[in-house]
Amino acid sequence: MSKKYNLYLGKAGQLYVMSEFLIRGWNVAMPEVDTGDDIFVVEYDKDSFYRIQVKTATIVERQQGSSAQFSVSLSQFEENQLSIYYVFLLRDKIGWYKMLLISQITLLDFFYNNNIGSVYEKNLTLYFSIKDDKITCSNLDFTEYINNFNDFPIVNH
Amino acid sequence: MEKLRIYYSFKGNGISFSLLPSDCNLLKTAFPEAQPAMGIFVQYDINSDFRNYHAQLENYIFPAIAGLPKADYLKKIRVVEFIKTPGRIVTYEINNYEQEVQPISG
Repeated sequence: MSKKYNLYLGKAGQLYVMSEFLIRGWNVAMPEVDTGDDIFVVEYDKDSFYRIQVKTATIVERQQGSSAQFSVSLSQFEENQLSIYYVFLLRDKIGWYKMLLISQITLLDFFYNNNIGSVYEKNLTLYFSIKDDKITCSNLDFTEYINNFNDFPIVNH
Repeated sequence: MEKLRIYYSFKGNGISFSLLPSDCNLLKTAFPEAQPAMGIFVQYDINSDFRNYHAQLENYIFPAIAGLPKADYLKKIRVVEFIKTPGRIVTYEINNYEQEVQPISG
């Protein structure tokens, strides 16, 4: 895929994630200045505010199962901010496949204590394997983070 | 409990202290009554005033973030490390916590 296509894919992923938050009753916004965050999400009544980083990748078919690769900037990643969440969005040939939603602090925990991913220059590369509806990264099971909206309960208006 | 690790990083206007979820779980396992805070934010000016007029801030961050209801419990954690991120550098260590934390009045 060309670099230009990746821009389109990234934007499509960002808008898709925004729509998922909207449908759950959370308001969303795109920051005017790009400082790394893709989406702001807000639950008005409770003043809950979160910063969302969306990472989008196309699934590649393998001999056994399939895989997707994501890159995360280490400097931003190690901010250990409780308000930051990562959304890893997977796309297959048909459409959006699955969305992994994980807090930055949880991901940081896996990085510090389980050495997930591999560090190259200033980025952490995460390689997800998908097989039989199970998603793993560095031999850790990430299946529980599929559509993990536990911290973003549905808001009834 | 042998060790508690408190991570911190500098933000635009202050310092953010946090516990990793696995360390929160360790705390809750060791002390079922614990209610760890996961995160505490301290503005730079408060940090500076606190150090000038009271004491090393870290000694107060530890009980606040650990959320342990009894001072005795704090002593059961042998080492508390304050780790600066990015880089994971241990910058401050509390060994065998002895300090009685008193409420600070104006």
